[in-house]
Amino acid sequence: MERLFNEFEKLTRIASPSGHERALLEYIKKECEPYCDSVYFDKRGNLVCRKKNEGAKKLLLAAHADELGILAMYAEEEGNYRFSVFGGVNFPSLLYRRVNFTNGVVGVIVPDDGTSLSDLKLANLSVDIGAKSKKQAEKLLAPLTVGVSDSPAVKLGSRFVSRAIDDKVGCLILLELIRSVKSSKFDLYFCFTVEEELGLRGAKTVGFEIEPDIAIAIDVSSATDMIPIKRNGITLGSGAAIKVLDVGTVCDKELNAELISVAKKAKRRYQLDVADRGCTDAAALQFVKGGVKATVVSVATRYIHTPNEQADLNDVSDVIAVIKGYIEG
Amino acid sequence: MDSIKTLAELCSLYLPCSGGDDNVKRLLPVIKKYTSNITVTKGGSIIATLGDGNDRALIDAHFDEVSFVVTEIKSSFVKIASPFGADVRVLPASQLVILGKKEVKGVCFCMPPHLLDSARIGKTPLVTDIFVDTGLSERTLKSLVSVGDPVCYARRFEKLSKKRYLANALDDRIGCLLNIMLLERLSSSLPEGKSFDFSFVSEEEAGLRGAKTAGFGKGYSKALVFDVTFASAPKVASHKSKPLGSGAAIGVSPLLSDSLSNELKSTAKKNGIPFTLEVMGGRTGTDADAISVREGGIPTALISVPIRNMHSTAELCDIDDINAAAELAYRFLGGEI
Amino acid sequence: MKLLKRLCTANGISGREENIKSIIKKEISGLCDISEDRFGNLIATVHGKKRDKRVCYFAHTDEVGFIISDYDEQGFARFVNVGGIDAAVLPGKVLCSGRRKGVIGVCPVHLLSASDKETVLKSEDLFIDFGFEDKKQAEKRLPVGSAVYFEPTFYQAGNEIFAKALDDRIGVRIMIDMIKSKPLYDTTFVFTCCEETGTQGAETAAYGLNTDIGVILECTTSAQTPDENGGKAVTLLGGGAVISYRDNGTMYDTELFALATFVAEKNGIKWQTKTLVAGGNDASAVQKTAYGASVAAFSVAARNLHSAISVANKNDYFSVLKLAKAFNDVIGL
Repeated sequence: MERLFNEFEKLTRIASPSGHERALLEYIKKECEPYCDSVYFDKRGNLVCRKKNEGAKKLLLAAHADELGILAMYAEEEGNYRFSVFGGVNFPSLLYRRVNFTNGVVGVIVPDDGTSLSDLKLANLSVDIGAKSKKQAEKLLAPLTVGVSDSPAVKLGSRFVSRAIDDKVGCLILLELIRSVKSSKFDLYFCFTVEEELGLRGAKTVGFEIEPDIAIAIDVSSATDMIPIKRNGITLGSGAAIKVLDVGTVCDKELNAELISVAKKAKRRYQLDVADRGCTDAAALQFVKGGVKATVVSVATRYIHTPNEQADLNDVSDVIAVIKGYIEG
Repeated sequence: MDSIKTLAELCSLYLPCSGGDDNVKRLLPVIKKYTSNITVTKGGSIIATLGDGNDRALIDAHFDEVSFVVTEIKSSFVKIASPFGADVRVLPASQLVILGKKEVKGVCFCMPPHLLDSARIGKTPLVTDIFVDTGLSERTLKSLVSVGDPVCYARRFEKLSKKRYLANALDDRIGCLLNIMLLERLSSSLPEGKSFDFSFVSEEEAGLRGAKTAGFGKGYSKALVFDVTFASAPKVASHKSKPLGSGAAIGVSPLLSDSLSNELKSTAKKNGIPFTLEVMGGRTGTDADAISVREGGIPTALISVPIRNMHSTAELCDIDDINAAAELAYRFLGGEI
Repeated sequence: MKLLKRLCTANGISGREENIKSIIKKEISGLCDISEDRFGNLIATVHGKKRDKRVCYFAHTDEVGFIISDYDEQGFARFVNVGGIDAAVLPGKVLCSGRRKGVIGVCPVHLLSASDKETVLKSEDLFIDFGFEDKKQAEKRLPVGSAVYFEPTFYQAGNEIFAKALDDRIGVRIMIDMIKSKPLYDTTFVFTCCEETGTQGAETAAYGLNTDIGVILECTTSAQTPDENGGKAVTLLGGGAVISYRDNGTMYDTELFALATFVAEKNGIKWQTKTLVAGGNDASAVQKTAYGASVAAFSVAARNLHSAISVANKNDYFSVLKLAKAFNDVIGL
């Protein structure tokens, strides 16, 4: 558990808002290279790591490298920056959030004076970077610089809180698999995709050249065990969340049945996940050419798309074990 | 073939949007009565092929129906979600069928008006407040039903008058029927050099998903999509609907091929087939939107049959419109008289 | 400018772009290989020196407009919009279909209640009055399914161009100019159809082209007013070529963006970038189709986009033209 967390924490040190994933992907690339037959960036900047097994069925595993973030757009006369966001955030969760820009500048997201909580929108939010004027602001921070929440990973027993568990935990799982899978019944393609939070944009093209037979997206899924507890959903610590369907994908039943039987055999916990909001890279991957059998395995996560998401390391380890078992056969 | 009987048979099948391979198992036997040249795609769609000519056309209809999905099981109740465009307004006190290990019947719970929160009076019930009452014990229920199982409207097929029928899932079993009618008719008079792939596609109601991939790489020269459109009724604007009995509705849209639409129009005129024009400014909301831009673009035409009460428990159609659509498509595809 | 005028005053809603395409073909014939794909995109390939990567430029030929969907008994036409049109710009506008003219009718203001006066009717509640006597006459003269356009307009005043359909005839005009001035390297120019209906033309074109780099030439939105010259204006007329970093459809390739700004600075070309995330264009389709591509977009800022008369600045047009040409000489090598 300690090691898993430490590996995760390393991934959170690198900011990777949508469209700006390269630094994180370069780190992952270096980590993967010793274990893979080929590691390359495709035309769109998705990182593809292949463990070759020529002739075997092609299995594509996808986790997205991008996280939520903000983009400084223009400075107001008063020195505050207007900004845009990457991905779906609810505006109250932005309030008074501390932001680290990639050039080292720190800012705080604030509402315009007199804005009511119910009327929050980009037009009345700004980042205060401590500048006195537009001129000074632009000197400190060039327009179009990206930033992410200042909320580093913290371990709380078997659980952990951090920004961007969505989907750095997926990247972690893929990395762990790359490091640990010894034999495989598949020709394996581990894909770290870009711009998922903007509408699965990276995943739309990543499968086109690979032409996978099977695709599995590894992502987070919204837990429903916050207070007051709603019982109809997945919960932290209950194991790998195997998706039945979400807004983008009706997951392949046969594939799910195989995953479930692997989980049972390995005595790993799993839970079925029906999500009536959101979707994952699987929603794009299922449409490659003549179609691809696809499913999603997730880590149940609380407070998704806020600065402090929360998940359980036991679930992470369950997901790794289930996928590993499936790969090794 | 008795088209009414076939329509009744098609409508009797539970083919929920999230049915996956189970849908294929349910539908295949019906199609197999008419042809054995069948492929099942990875996306869970079925393609029946006729002929082996090089000029290959795709004839598309979707078999899936709007449906619900189980999210929770609690005492004798099942909670559902509606991710696929079903009409939630019709749910209170409606009969549903849960497709678990066995089919489980249930009735949607509705709050008696006497007890309704005053703020909710006159408002559509929230789907999160809807429970399907099964009458079974929690234990029995849990042994039969699991989270994620699909839920459909209970079946019915009624003849209301000489020409008008009431049924579930006419959207788009009418299209499936048209596919079968054409398959049968064209097989005895296959035009030279041509071949036809009749696709029965999945997950249209979830976002045209089956049509995105079914028949990929076959090099179709054109496509014809069968779907349903809005029939006129009180509270349905007359300029946005077609009267029942007005014939086949020919789609006109920037995304459809103008030359194919014109061809349909002139074919209808020439043969005295009743038709209307259904004009759309862009997306048609049918499989045509997915097919026309696939693989570098496939010129696509759209024929729709008007139905009432779309996506509800009881849709209504006129058999004359179905026959007009079948005749128009048959002539359009080059069938001999 | 004469050619731009001809392009803007020609009519072509999505899917019915033959008029525009025939003007283009006439202008560029003999200068390049011309083909048309089956979705209706016009593809022009200019041969020059080879380069490592395939480079395609995109501008769309279609404009927003209307199609007649139904007539009532009195001969009033109901219509559907083609492309995103704010119904507020419609009442009282003169439209045309072929030589025939009509007007979007309004209820006399005298008969409206105070709240009705403030309410914008939806397009589906509006009608076009072509002066037909009844349904039968209407159906005969202008059948259901006919395309309808904003009245062709084009004039210049000061540095500004006032015209219908600047979006995106201005991009088309720039591509024609690029073809005529013989690019140094192999370059493909795609005149796409059906951008306004959701970039379907670019999607189908990109599928076959398998380009490495896609550069979109567009006309983009400006909200500049006498009171707003700052960030909320998104782009400014006279502010130079708009080099997009991000819009609603696309996060542009950051390396191409950096290169484009560098080329602009080096050549003394005035440039700006959008200060809000707004709009979208063919880039979103080019970037995400088949194997995908790296994309950039250069646009001319315009006010009143998607209305009867949009307004752009001549100098911005020349900035985009200059930038597109200079950029083409340094990319994909």
